[in-house]
Amino acid sequence: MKSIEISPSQYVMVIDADRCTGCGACMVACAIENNVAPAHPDATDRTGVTWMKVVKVSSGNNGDGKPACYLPLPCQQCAAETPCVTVCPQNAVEVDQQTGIVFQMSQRCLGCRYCMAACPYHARYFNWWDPEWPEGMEQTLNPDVAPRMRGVVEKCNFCHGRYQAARASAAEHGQASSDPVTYEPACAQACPTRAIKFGTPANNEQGVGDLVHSSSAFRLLPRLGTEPRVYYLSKHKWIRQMAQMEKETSTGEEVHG
Amino acid sequence: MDSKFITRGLERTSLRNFSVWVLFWVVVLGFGLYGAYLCLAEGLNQTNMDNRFVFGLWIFLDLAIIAFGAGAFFTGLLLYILKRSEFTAVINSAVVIGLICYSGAVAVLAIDVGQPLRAWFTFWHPNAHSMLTEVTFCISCYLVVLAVEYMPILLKNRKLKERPSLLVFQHNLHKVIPVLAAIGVFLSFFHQGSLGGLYGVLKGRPFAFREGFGIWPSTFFLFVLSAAAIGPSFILLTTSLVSKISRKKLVKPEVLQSLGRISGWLLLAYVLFKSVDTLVWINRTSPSLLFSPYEYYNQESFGTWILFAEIVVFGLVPALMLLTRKIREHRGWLITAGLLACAGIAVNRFVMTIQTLALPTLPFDPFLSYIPSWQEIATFIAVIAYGVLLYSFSFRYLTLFPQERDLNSLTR
Amino acid sequence: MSSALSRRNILKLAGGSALGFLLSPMPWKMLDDISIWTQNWSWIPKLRRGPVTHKYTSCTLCPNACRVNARMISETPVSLWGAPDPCVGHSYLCSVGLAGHHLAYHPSRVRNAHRFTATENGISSEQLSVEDAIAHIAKILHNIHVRPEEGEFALFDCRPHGMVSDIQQIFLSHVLGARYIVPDHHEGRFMRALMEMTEDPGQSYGLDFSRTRTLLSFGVSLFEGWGISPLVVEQFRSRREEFNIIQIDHHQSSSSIVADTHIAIKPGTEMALALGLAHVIVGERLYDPASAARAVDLKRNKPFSFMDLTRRFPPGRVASVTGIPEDVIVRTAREFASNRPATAIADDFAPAELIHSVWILNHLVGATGKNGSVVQKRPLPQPWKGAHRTPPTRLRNVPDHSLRLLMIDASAADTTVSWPDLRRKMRAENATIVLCSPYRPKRGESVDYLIPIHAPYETVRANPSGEYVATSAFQISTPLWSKSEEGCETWQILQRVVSASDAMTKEEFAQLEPEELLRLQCDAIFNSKRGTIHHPNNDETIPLGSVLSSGDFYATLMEGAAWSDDGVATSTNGRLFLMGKSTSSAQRFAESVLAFDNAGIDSNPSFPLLVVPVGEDVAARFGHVSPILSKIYQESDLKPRSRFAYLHHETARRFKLAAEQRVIIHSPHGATEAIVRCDSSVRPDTVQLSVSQLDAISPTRPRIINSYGGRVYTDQPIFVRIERARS
Repeated sequence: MKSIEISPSQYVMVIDADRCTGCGACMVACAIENNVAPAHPDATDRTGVTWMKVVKVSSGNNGDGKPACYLPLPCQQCAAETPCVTVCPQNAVEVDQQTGIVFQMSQRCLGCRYCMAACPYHARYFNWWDPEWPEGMEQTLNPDVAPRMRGVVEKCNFCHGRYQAARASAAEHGQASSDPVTYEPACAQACPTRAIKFGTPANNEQGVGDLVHSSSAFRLLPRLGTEPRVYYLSKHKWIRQMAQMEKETSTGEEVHG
Repeated sequence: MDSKFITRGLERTSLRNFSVWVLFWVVVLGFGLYGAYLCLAEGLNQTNMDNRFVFGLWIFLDLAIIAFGAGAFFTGLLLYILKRSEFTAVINSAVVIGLICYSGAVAVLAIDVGQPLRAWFTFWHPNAHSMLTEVTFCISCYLVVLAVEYMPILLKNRKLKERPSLLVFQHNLHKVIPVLAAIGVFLSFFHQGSLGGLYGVLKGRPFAFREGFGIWPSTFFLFVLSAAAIGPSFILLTTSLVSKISRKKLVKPEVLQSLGRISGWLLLAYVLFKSVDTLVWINRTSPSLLFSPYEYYNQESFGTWILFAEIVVFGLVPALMLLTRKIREHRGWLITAGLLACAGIAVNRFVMTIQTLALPTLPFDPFLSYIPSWQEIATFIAVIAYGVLLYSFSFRYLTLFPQERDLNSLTR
Repeated sequence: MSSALSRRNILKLAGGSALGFLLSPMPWKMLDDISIWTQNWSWIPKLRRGPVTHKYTSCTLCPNACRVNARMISETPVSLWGAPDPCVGHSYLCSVGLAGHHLAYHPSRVRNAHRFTATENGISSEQLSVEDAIAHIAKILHNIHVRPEEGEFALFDCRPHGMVSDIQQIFLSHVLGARYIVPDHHEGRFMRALMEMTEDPGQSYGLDFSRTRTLLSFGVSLFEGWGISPLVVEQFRSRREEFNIIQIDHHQSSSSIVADTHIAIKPGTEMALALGLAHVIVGERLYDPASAARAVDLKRNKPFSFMDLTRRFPPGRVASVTGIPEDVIVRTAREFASNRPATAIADDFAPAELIHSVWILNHLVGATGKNGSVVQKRPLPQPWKGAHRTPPTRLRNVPDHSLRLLMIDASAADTTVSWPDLRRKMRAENATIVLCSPYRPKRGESVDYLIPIHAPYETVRANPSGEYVATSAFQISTPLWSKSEEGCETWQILQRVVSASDAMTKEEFAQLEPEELLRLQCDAIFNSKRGTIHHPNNDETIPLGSVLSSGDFYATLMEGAAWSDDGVATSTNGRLFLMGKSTSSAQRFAESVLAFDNAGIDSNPSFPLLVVPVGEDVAARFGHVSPILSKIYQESDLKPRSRFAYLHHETARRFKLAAEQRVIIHSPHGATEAIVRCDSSVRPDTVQLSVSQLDAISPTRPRIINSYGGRVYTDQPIFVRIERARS
């Protein structure tokens, strides 16, 4: 594995592809936490907003003993040459140096969608419609996250609102602002099988610091040089090879997600 | 009835005929504006773009018409900087075409973005690393330059010329034109290039990503070169079209042939550089990102035929045609060559936008397809109608072709 | 002054003003304002602010009764999370449960009573007051009471569970001739089947996987839905390395994708595999000796020989029937029998003979023995144990066209009522259906009256734990919104209708409010003097004995605490019956095995593909779930979608079909349309279709079970052929 340059006090997410059952609880918890509206009746899987998206991947052959797996795909929070940051014409995307989180300022976004063209992980979503909640349901919105309107791009930000709440609480208890705080994004909290773990290598919450160095750890499209902060684990070689594009792409691969 | 406004010595069709023509295009414009209005009022869900096809018909056609509109700056370069005086015959028309192309493109962009009211944010919070910032600044400035270049043409209208203050103003402007032309060349170089750079810098899209020189990928230079190559061809095509519709001779044949020959040389140079660039991309750039270029052409819709079409059928062939005197001197063949060249540039823009987005990046993503919705097509039709109307008014009331009077008086 | 208004001066004025304007704050303020406006249009919701609190309650959307920690802002729930749970360690809410707090605002929510009448132009609806509706319905009930030949009165309880179902049954027993109808499918059938195979009478059973090393699952949905799922998830989380899961499934379900081993089996042949495994275990003497000693019919020959039965299923034969390689069968049997404690499980809705076979396996490996996972438990203490109740009638056992008045209790969100089956039980003319639901009837559901009831989390509800847990448990689902004065529960409507109709024979429970009934239930538990109470907010467990009064106990439960019973020492002396305790059950089992032997599941060349139905989007289509579930069911391709037919890519190639093609699917009974998708996790020579597509091509309506888990059974296998649609 390539050596990473992610600072140990910045957050990483470790997703165990062997534990994901494709239940979708993370997708729902994410939408509730971040005030993502239910789909417009005409929305499809290509025009919906799903900050966390779970994809079912089949290998195309049956012989491996595990011919399919589920991959949760949040924003990969690229640490190097972050594609969306360099291309935004009005600096509406920024990498927080302390946490490493790539956060989107939807209130500055012009909706040109250049960042979406740049993102190789398709982690960014555009509001093709105005968000609309059934009458009364807007009372259940989370006050820690601002809702967006149509015409702007949004994406996963490792539940930055929770980070800020944790930071505020840590400050009240006198913790230095340079120490990383412990918090958990909604997807990790909701996952029933503990497939999603989150923390900083420095604090090693849930063992993430050790897991990123394990032999079954891999990242998506590592040759692009984006240094994503989301690591995946799998004991199955075909999954690792597929994600890193090491094997020749077979025409039998299919995807649902 | 409006002959007072028509330049002395020029014949124009009757006001009634002109009104019918204008009315037809106004209706078309109205239909197109309705499509555009829907996109603004209801949102971009009126289009068939989605999270994977974030750029669609509009961006593709925008890139194409900006390339075609390069004739404005290139003719300006030829006339004012390189002092090739034969191009005074077409410079006015070129400026109007340029103005139409750029203002139309900017209008479509205003609808393409999700929040048009925030369009000025790019000027307020510019990102020096982004190609799109560069494009925004340069195109806005260049649009202003084109508008200012249009002023003298407008002010030379027969009626307007009668006002001394305007005459003086126009004359002063005329002295400034070379400076404006130089600024225009400079701005055009950068924004034509940056439009190419938009895709060339996308490391996450290995189909489009290219290595280059400094911070500029090779597509930067290829786009400039292709725009410069196609500009003269487009001018010669539009001039021929207007000539045919108005049934008048507008320029001396040598002017068009000269345009064709310049276009041919530039096109040949472009094809050469493009071929080298493609070879480097196939053998080095794409494989280094672990994407085999042959995968890109595995799809039913986009086989290697599209690469062949872009470089050979619509690139090398028209270049060679335009460089052959016998073909240049035959009006029909000249036009065909020009059309092929324009098609080649359009294919190139298409490939860089639509094909780039159709191809998957993640190993488990499918190849996707996209067909524009009627609202998208209507919006573009509005641009065409706007262009026709602006050009029609300019052609009727202004002197777009200085050689026209002499050419047609000879035949009278 | 002659130059005052000259052109030059005006130009100077204009130029100077423009410059001055630019130097003033005005244009910049206007630009700023524009950016603020574009963030704050009037249709963007304003967020509620206020103090953050947590409220503990439990989810009533499925029998699991997960514990819930609700995050509240100004007394309004903003998000729901799982809470520590004495039964399974920690509850984890499913995708539906996470959004349970949205259900009060579901777009189909109704708060007024409606009456529907069929007109020429379709169905018209008019609103009326609840009192008026009840008066009309009471009149009908009165007429039934006076003239029984008009037909019967029945209550259809969509999800019978706990206290309220008991009350309804008791109440109905005081109404002459009233029926209490329950759905054909029911939870807990797997565990109850064990009672026919053990000696201990009257006990119920639960599962304790905390030491289990091998779980052999016959197509059970282990990670989604209810039932066994939360028990498995807990072990998966905490003991992943030791907890070995073997999933037997005909396609790659989410359970088989995550399991340690997936055994791909031909659909409908699971029983053959179970008996084949039994054959190997018995033949190689891998069984648990202590359990074998207790199994009285292991060696018996009369009236039915167990050995004879298993001898019919040698691995070679089983391999050809199931499509599983012989060595895999032998290896699985050895692994299952030696890596103990081991348990085999089947779905609640699996065929009876498969469930029986699975229990045979459990007996053989000692799952029902000393260190096994099967534990005995006491039922929940009930305050009205001796009261007379109307026995439940399964829907299919109700005589056709016998009902004059039917009330439907749709208070459970996972209602999957088979509407045509239901309609068939009503009289052809002059029949009335009353739907008691928080939501409008769905398309195709023709009802005559709709009376609104509370949505989940709007009122206090009794919430006993599911059937599979190791000890009985009880908690109260406390409301997350302050109680609305309007709205009621189904059984209160039943109360009022029956009271107004003079059809009652006895006035028991006629005047009690839900909370009073809840107190009675809590008192019964308190008086049992056993069990422990678990507080989620401090994760502490205290014995029931330490609570001083039943009032305190009730108050504690209302804060979100849960009561769970003490464990029962599992008796290990009683006899075990491999063929069944009674002659009739043994005979039934033997006959179905023999019938299986003789029947085949064969396609014919005209209809070569076996349909594998999945119900993965059933929740979204048939139940009422929060619109936010569109993330899973509409804005992503994660779950199989109902307009698609999923084929293995080899199968697609064989039939010259390709992905994204429109196709028509023909069965002997009808046809339906779909779009092809290729998925190598689908078994070759089968086509995976969503249950909603089966109506057109199936002779009988498929039984839908476990809506969120997605497992569906059809009474008969359906075979189809697929051809491209000519557009």
